Amino acid sequence: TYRLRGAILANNVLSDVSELATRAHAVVNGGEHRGYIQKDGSFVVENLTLGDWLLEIQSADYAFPKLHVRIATNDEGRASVAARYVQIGSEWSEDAPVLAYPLKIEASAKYDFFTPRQGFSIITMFSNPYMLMVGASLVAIFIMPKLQANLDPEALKELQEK
Amino acid sequence: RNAVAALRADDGQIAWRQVLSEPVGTLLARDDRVLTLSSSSSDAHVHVWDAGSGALAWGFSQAAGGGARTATFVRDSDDVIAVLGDELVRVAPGSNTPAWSLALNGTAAYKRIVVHGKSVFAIGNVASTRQAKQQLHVVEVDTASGAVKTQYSTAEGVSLGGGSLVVLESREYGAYLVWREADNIVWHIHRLGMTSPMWEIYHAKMVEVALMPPDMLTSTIAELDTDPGLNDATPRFTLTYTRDGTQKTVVVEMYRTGDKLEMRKIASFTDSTAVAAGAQRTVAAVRTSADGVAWRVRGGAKHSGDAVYESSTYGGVTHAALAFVGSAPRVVVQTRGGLLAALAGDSREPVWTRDESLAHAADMALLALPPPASSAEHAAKETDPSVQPSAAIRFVLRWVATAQALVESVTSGFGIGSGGHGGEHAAAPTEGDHFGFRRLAVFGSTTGVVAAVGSQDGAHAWAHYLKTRVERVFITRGSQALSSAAPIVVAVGRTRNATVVTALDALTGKVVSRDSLPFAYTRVFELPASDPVSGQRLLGFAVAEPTPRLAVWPATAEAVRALGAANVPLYFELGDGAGSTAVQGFRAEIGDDVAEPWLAAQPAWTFDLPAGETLISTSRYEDGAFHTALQGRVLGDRSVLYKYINPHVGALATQRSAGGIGVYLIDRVSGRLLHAAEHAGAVVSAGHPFLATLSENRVIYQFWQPGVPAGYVTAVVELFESDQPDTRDERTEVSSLDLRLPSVVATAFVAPEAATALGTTRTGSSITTRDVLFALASGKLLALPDAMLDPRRPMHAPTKDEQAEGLVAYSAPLPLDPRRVLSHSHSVAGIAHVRSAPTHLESTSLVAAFGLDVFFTRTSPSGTFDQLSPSFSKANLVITSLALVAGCLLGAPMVRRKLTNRAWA
Repeated sequence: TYRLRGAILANNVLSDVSELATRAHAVVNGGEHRGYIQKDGSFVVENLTLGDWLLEIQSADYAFPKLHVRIATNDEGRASVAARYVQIGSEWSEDAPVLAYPLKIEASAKYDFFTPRQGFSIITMFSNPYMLMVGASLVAIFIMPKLQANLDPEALKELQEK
Repeated sequence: RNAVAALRADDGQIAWRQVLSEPVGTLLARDDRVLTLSSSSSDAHVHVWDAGSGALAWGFSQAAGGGARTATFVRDSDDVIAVLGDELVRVAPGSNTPAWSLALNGTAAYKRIVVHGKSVFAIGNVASTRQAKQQLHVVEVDTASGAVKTQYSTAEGVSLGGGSLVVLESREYGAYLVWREADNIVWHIHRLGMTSPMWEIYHAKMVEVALMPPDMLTSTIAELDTDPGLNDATPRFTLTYTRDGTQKTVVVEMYRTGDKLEMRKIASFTDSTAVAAGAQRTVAAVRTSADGVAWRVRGGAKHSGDAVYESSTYGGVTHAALAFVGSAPRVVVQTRGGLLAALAGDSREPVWTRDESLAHAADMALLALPPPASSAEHAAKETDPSVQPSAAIRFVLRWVATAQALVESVTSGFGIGSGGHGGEHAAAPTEGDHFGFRRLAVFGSTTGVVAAVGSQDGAHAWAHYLKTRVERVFITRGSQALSSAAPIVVAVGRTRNATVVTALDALTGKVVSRDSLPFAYTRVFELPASDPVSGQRLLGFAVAEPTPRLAVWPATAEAVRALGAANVPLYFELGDGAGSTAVQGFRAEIGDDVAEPWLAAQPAWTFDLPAGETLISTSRYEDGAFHTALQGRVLGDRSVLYKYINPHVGALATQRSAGGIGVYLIDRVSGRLLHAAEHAGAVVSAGHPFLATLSENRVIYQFWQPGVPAGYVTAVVELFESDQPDTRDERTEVSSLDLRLPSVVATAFVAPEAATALGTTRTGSSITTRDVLFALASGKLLALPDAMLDPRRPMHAPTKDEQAEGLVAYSAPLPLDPRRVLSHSHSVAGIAHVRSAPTHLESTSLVAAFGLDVFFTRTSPSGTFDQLSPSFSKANLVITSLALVAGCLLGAPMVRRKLTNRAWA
């Protein structure tokens, strides 16, 4: 069997990798194998055999890219690791660039679980249909008489006769 | 269990926690390191954790057939010596390969390692054979090289962990075995590594206790210093004996004067249930008495104290630990039911408690609490207790009370706050609210505890220790406003060959009745009738042995007669557990003869799985999950596709011997196959569970699909009455026994992450759309709208009709949108069950997830359309109204004057 080594690197999304130690795991094939993350962000997944594996960092707080890891032996019989970024739900392309080994993974985003509460806004207030109706009636009450007053008396008479 | 946690001794909060993928066998703490041993079916794992942060310091794994047996730290070194499978290994931090390894004699099960100086001793039990009695086998190995120095057998007739042998490790004097042979009052002492003479023999008074031989023969000894780092000079053990009906525990210390090994008594306790070792030669003993726990600390300064504790809530104390906060002792006790409590000298109340029985919860029931009755309602009830006020009268009374409260608040100062959510004040967990948000979550745990927890804040209402493992809980009588009949929760437990049914008052936890039924059940469910005597819902137990039958609880003739009067045909299945190859359906026969509290059952159908397939799991609708408000789906062209709603649909998942899984939807009344699917290559195993949830006309299930690409597949099967729109079954009554096969639309998605449980939200009238709940392995509870899991999503850009139907183009991955994570930043680990219950508000659904953690929330899949928004300002509304009134009052005279002026003009 083979062991897979990797490390989570700090970046501007995740500056302190030690906080992952108890809130994230390196998981292969959704839970078949598991590596615990050390204070320095490194991890080891044991007991992998030759073949294709899906490596994820399951974290409570951060999103990480997922990796397709292929463990194969070369002509000399030595095992090599070819890891590529993949998207869930799409084909695993062989064209994607192979990542350096030991793997270095960076967090892609911090989960933001909250939708900010919408504050008071004039625009939302006036986009309310009731406000539009109120506006229309205000126009009818205050502006229409003024328009009528501005009309030519003869034209008005004509209109009334019609 | 598979979780390791560090608790702070001062407040009981979790400092850190690691959830492992396999059960933890050995846990050892030394200085700033914590060692765990865990093993899966094929591998053994050694993990050393940093005690301060919980981060992995280093780990080591090796393929080991017998799993990890034992391990210990090497003194003055970071190395660990362990027995993994049949090998003794020494492992250095960060090393892939052991420093040395030694294949052990396979005839002994080595369960103990002692490291002393340059020698490692592996000690194991050799099982008795026809030729030889049970004995211990000791292998002495060089610590540095792993070479075998000696090996021999000793201590005939006793075994490790048998209660008559202890291993004592002393840094200075060496390591010793101390034991007493069965039916013998003589103590044998053997220094490990010494073969000549094999042992020293001591008189029975060795431990400074004069005992009559009969008392000596029933005594047991146990190790106390299981962590040698605590007291490595003079190791201690306990001797427990019973004299004149009183149980005594003596703590004995080993020391040496010159060449002679000595034992002395350092403390003795009466009736203690747990003894703990502390630093600086201190020991603590804990005794559970009728209404409290008493503890004593001896060795060094004496301390003692007692705390109020009702052992009927969580059982007696089984384990204790002693820590010192400053110089004050703190005794942490663990009870049989799973409570952790910290006791300290200055308080009769525990300093903190943790209910860890919830981590063993097998089932949960949500008790709806009656809305708080106003004083006016109580007054109305008191004047005429026989009359149950009608809903309309109660509504009027409530408004009268609200108006009174408003008048009071206005006269006592203006106190109308903003916010649409009223009634969020802290209240007793057993008090309800008008929206039905407040529930009492009653958990039944395998540790034998039934505990009721308020849904709002997780506060405990009550707990009761039942002594038998609890598998199911049911609310058999709900709570009613202003009713004197208490709600009842029933816990169904199991002993070796009986079923224990305990009814408890759901508000107080008092036991109402306790019955031991003389059978082992395979499944228990609610029956469609109530007991005429107690008003409780009847429970039915499907029993396979000796003959298939349906046992009824309460086991009375009245109950069976009531069931007969309900005249509902009763069907149940047997053989629907994992590993079965055929599911059998039975129909319970309701006869006129009610001599026995059970109904005989006749086979109704048999569903034979195809050859080479075995059952993995069976799923069915949770209570009420099949309800729907819309009989059909309105398509873009205004035609309707009618839903196939059948509460008897069951989903069977099978393992195929040729690989892959099969999924069968059957009708559980007729045994008829409704839909079959096969997923070649799918894998279901301990690491990859099969999960399913049923709601309305939809079955959603998830499994692991290996290969390239690999991932968790979420399959959605939707059942319709016909594949033609506007075609429906016009019958007003439909029977499962009529031939009525659904038309199936199915598709599959890719789940964002591994999940441990699935569920679906439920609302009162099922008008609100549903959310599908995924308990993710990363500790998140994700709620995805069911429109996202719609099997009718088109593979192409949606046409106008499809857009009108609300369909979006298919895309395989289900997104992990953090804003749809109900648990937010809380890490909710090890969820095994996700349940949902409706509230009085159609928009809002209660969601409970439990397993290792317990999480409770409420969610509104379609938004809170029937509530004021939290930012709605009642004060603004009042001020605006007042301003309008003031404007009218001010404007009226002006308008009047203007009209008068116009009339004069």
